Amino acid sequence: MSDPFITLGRLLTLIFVPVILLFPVVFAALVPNRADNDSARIKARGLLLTLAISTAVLLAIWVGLVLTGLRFNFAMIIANFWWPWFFPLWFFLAMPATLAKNPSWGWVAGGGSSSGGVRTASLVNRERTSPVTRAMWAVPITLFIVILAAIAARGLLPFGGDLLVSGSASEREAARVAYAEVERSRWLVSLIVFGSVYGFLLAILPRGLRRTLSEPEPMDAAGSPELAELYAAQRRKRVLGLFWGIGVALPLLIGSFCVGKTWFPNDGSMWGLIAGIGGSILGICGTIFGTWMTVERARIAELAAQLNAANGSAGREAGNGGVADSKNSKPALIQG
Amino acid sequence: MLTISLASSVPIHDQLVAGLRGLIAAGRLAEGDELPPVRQLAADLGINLNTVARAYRELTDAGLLASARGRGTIVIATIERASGPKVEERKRIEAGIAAALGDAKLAGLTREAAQSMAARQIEHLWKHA
Repeated sequence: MSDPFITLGRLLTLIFVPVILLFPVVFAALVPNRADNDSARIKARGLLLTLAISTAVLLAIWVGLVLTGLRFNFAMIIANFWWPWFFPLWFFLAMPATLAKNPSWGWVAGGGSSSGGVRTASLVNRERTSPVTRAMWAVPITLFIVILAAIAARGLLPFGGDLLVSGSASEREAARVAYAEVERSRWLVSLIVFGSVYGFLLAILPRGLRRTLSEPEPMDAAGSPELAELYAAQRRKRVLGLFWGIGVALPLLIGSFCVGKTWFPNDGSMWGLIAGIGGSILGICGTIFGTWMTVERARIAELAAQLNAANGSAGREAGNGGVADSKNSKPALIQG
Repeated sequence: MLTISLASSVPIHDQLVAGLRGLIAAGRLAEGDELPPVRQLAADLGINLNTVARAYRELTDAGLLASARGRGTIVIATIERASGPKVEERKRIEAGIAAALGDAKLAGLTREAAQSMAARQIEHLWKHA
């Protein structure tokens, strides 16, 4: 194992913590400010300031831990596990700040739709609009079979064959048998881990995609086609991203690692590092994709709120046959 | 599109049932049309799953909808199953029309305006018949 690999691995671990800690404050700061009254503006400013100070304090402590870690290893371990502070920053400060700055982003912050008392829904079954075709499923299924077969095939060859040790013949034989046992165990673990992890992912993916297709898409009262198109385009990206990310890229990474480790066990640490770096890159890509989708989704929510505001009372009385009369439960009359 | 109003005094369940019946009556939902899954409609409207499920069930009992495995909930008829004798059914409908026209009169509409309104609704509802 070469030193540059280890240095690169440590560097990535070191960069990860400040990046993840800075994310909430950067996100909340970039949300367009659409607070419609002074109290909301003051609340947003206060939350953002608290978030910025909390982030600065946490980063300062982290820097201190890293510097201490140069001499005392335990401090570096704590520094490497400093990232879970992301969660309180995100959930308790960034999300409320986002919502205070822009109520239309309620979808992001879990505050629900901002369309007021009138709710409109499309009657199209979105589960039938999945961009993932039957033919596309052949990709993850083939990948699963090929990788599983590649790992399983190693079992057909003898284990512990390439061990070079010195000593008497009986000692060499004992070492070879022990090493073969270790190799066989690793092979079996790889086979079971890959088979179960990818098998589980493949089993739950269709359900995950269906859930993604069913995510709320509240329409404006007039059922604007522009809004429907934006939802459709965004839904397509989300579903395809989930399919290729979880169904193909992630198993491909895990599978390559398992195959490499099984067939070239002497380079185990290199495979570990490659999997670690690959996993980090995949995680970062996933985060970027997720953030991009969240921002897009929030913009759609903003547009829906604007359309609702523009429609005003006309939207509330829209003759779509679906609005119930306020006096009785009969459908509203169709407007000419 | 199906719209409900949370500000209305009418329960959401009744609004849903009325809304879907209205869409079927107007021909906007035809036989064989598929409705969204309960979870999707509830999420889009921001209401409880059970409310949507109950509305679907009521329309299924009325003979308008049916749930088919693999096809979800579909519109199977555009005419409701009679809940009682035909005479009673007609009496109930006439009472509804009388109530609506009474509302129109009390709202100060002229005979001509009420007639024109009724004619427009009749034209709209029966144009596909």
